[in-house]
Amino acid sequence: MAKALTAVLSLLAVSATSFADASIDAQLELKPFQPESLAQIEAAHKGQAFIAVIWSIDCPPCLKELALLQQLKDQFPPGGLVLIAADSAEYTDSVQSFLNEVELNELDNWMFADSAPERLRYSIDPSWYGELPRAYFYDKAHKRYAHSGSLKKEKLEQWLLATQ
Amino acid sequence: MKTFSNIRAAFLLSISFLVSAALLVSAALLAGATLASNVQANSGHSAHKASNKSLVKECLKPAALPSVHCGKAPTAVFATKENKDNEGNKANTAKLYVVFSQNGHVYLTTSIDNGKSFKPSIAVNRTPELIYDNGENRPKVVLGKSGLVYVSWTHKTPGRYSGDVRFSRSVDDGKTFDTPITINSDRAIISHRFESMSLDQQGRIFLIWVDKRDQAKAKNNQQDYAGVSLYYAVSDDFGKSFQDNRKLVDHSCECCRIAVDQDSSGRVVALWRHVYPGNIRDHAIAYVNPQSTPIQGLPLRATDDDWKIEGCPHHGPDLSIDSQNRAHLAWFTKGETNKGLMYGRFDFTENKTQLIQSIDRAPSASRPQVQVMGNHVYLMWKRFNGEQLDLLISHSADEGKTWSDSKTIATTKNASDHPDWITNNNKLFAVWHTQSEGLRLIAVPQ
Repeated sequence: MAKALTAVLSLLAVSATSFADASIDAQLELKPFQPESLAQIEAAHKGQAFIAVIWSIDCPPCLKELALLQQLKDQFPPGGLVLIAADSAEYTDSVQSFLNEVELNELDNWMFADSAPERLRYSIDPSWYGELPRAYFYDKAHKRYAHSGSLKKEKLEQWLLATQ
Repeated sequence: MKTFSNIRAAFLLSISFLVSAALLVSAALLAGATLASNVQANSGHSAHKASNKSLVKECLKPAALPSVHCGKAPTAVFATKENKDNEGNKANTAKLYVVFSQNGHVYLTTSIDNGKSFKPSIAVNRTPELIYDNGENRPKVVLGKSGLVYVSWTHKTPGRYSGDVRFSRSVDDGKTFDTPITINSDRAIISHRFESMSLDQQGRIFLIWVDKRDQAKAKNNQQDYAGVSLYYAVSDDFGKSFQDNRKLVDHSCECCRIAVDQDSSGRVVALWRHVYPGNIRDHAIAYVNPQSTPIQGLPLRATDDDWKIEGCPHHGPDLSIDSQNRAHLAWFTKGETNKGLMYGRFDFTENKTQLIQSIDRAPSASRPQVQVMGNHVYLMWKRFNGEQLDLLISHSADEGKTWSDSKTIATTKNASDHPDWITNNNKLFAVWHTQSEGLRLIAVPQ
């Protein structure tokens, strides 16, 4: 009886592992974006040009923009693209599954993690009204400029050419 | 160690997978009730995610009872002379009715001490369902005569941005509620959301909402369709039933709330963010008649900021109509002409908005609300000051011509809902639900 039980359990464990492998592969690292996070991102990109894109699952043009980024992601240097989801914790699953869907799960992904989203928007840019999508283009010296609304493919390609 | 934790995680994951699979099966058997509450309960897996869950002491207990402080997106209204009941007669204090969302239910509760204490909550929908309960799309409550209580909300149907408009009424002052009904006749799994509710002079109930059926139809025919449309339905039997859905207008914005109010003769007026040609998302205004045909051509323009944006700002306007049928408006824009929070007064005799002025240009200012009290007009909005959120008011004693300096009447450090105005005879209150403090009624000095 005990033997049979062990057999069943190990069978379960094997199937469990295969289930889990699939799940773990599909999992992405969604870092909590807090008031000090932008400074950390900037420090990690010292001397490097990059684009930070702020998006939300509740913003249809943002989803289109992410689909565009999916097409272009291989042209970005490693770390050249940072994604920040401006959604609250209850949307974690939707954000994760969308990033998996558009195969952007291997990028540097962040998600708003402060009960007052106003605080995070302010920490990114006190002159930003909160409209989405919003992108910040950083040059190597980290001079940045902001863009509101959907990004055009040509604009991104131009930036990629100019920063290489 | 890593391997061990992987295996352990794998085992836990698979168990949770099996358990959720079993739950899904049983949920399906239970006609969706369990499923709805399971999904509702999900609030993210990782501990590091900042949650919006209430920080009010009574809400921290796992077995906390439904409460206006612990729930989400409350809407409040005072009983007036026409609809007050016996309890409300006492001590010159009107009875306060509040609906809110919690655990897949819309609840109603009441207070006879201006929100200091509340009666036990009554579930409006006995079967739990997914409910939109954010600032922009929240449950509503409107009071009819002699014990009639009307409640509406948007039920979240599967898929992104989809929903159905729901309605339930009580004929016994909120003690019991009829089984909820779905108001939109189109039942496709698309958006029928952001409902607003108003009565007219005859006590007819108007429900107006954002509806994607025309956009979906256009898409099927491979045609372009800017924005979505507004539909409405009217009940002339005190909420027992609703007449057929009617279209108000094509090309409204997709996800901004609709502001509604009654004029001095009790006719219903709606103000909404429209998609004018060229993706200009300024506001339109219209009377809503029980039997009107859809607006042909461009609707009356109430705001003219030339805000071109591909996308929806999730930031609907507010409206309050004075005794001369002038509509006082408050809105957010980031247009060419104006930026930030704005005030203006729309005059139906001239079809024009006058006295347009900036309320607050700060990028961190949001959610303006406007309320007329005789010749006085009040504005309220919230603004992040670098450390915390302030709730601000400004006052005009001359029908909106000139405005006082802004004044902070409340603050909070964590998540905060949209603020709202409510009135009790000639007394004005700000209502603000915040994560740390719960629901507050703040008497505004007049």
